[in-house]
Amino acid sequence: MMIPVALFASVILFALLKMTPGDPVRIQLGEQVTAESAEALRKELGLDQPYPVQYARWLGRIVRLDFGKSLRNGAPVSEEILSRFPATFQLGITALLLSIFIAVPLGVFSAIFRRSRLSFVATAFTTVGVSLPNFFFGALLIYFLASQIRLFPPGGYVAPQQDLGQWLHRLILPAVTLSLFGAATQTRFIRSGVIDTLHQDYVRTARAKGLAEKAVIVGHALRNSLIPSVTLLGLQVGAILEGAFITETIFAWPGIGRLAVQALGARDFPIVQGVVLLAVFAFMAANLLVDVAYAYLDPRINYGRSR
Amino acid sequence: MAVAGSPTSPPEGVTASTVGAASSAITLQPSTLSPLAQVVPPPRRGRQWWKGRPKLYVFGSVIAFMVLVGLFAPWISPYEPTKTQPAQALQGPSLAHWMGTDQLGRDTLSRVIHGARVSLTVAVIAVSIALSGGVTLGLVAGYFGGWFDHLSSRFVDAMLAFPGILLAIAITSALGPSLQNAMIAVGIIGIPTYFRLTRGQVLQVREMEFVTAATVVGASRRRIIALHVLPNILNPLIVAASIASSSAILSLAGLSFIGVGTQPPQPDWGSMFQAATGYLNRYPWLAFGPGAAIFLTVFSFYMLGDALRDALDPRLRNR
Repeated sequence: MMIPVALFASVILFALLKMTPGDPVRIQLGEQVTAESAEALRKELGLDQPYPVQYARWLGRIVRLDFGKSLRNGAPVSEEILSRFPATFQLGITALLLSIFIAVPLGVFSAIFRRSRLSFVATAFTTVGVSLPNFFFGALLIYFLASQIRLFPPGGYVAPQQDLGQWLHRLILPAVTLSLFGAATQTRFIRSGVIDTLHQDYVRTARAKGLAEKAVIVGHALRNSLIPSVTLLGLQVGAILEGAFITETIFAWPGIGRLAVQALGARDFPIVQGVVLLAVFAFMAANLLVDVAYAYLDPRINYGRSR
Repeated sequence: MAVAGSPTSPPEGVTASTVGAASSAITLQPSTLSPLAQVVPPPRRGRQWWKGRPKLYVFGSVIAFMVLVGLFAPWISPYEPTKTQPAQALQGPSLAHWMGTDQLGRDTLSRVIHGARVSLTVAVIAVSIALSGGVTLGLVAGYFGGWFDHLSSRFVDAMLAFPGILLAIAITSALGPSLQNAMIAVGIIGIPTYFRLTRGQVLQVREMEFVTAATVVGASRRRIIALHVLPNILNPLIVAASIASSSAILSLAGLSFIGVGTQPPQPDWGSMFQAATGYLNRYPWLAFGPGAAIFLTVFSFYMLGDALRDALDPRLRNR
């Protein structure tokens, strides 16, 4: 399932790459070249071949993580990206965990106490959370918590192996910013899932046989309603990868998102394509993991075998 | 395709770009409606249907207000949005400049007003692209099935393998950064949501008896799709369009913020905000105007979609 989709996605990317304006030969050699040397380089790069051949060669390079060279400084794209990847990874994982820690209790409790004030808070949180652009939220945090009361530094990065405390201190604001959207969507998903489950027949049966409400909720309802929310985690990874572009830019966090935004500004397309490819790959891998985890958690599900 | 047999149903057509996207293997149906739910007309018909729905009223009015502001931008904005007055750069809010002026002395309020034009145009055009592409493909794929259904479903799966904005970035970096290309990109990344929604709905409606009846009396396939299937799947599409408008505006703001959307000096909320972040410490009001405008518009479209869902689909109320 994943492999054909990945191949199809790579065709889309290759097509986009071919549509990118600018002749790679001209970019590499400059405007003043003789027709012969341009032709020679074109042959060397394989650009004289038909598109299917070019695609196969391109795919072969991608599989070996060879994304070409940065147009700006000539460094291999994969090195540039790999050196920035840890920062994004740290930020992304923290944001993901943070969103789970917010969403699960908020979603569950607001579903159990449906008509309470907490439920109102949860609904307000989800609607505001999905419509507040993360650059605005990040800027608000910087303005109030970093420049007005100076609780946090406004941005920057310190590697954790250098100074763990500083790293954590600088991590908090961007992680909170990045987690908002995910926390909001997850809260909504979990809340409606738990509400749905609480209306199921087996929950009524559990209540009817005289179980304490707590046992009904913890033992019967929660397990079944939280499993589907695992599927949302895969999508969260996508949202976090997207959000990283903006959040890292705002907080001067030296990850792949900021690298790509800077590369976009400098028209350094190999870097942009490399980051997009890596993000797509990470997103697919996350979804694959989620599917496997889902099948493991919920034995009723098997992929394809039962048909 | 995978079988997602969960006891609880996934949430109704969730929200912004990525969440509307589903993982490649597990299909999150954008809607949990039973076929009956769409065939039954909304409970209150005629002039009454919006009564007792303050949400619909309030957020509908906000959107209407925004549309008016966008339409009449040249007449109501106090200054020319692109006129620079370096002598008056970086002023705070005052009677002359309600939201202050930016680093080039341009009036922020006028730029926010003109930005409404850009944002709403984007919402309309991007959603139209997404709607026409997604609904057409979804109708054909859902109704006829077969190889076309297979092919288009796989294509949509491949699109969903990209986190939405990243696909938009890839598209705009290929086509060149401009407002027009950003709109096309935002429209394209909306297609999968509509495709899946439409296809799922069509698969349900196709099996209804009135479709069989229409087939029996010899109605053409085109007539059945246009007069029997499409009207019955309209409600969820209307709801989705409102929510998609909110995510389209949010996506474009993000694209402009990172510099692949609107190009200067065109006034646009995302790029205004980006320019303002450099002055956040000392001139926070510069960022506040466009930021609040984005938030208000996105929030209103989202709430309007929510209210429409309540109004058009009683089954999902009180979620």
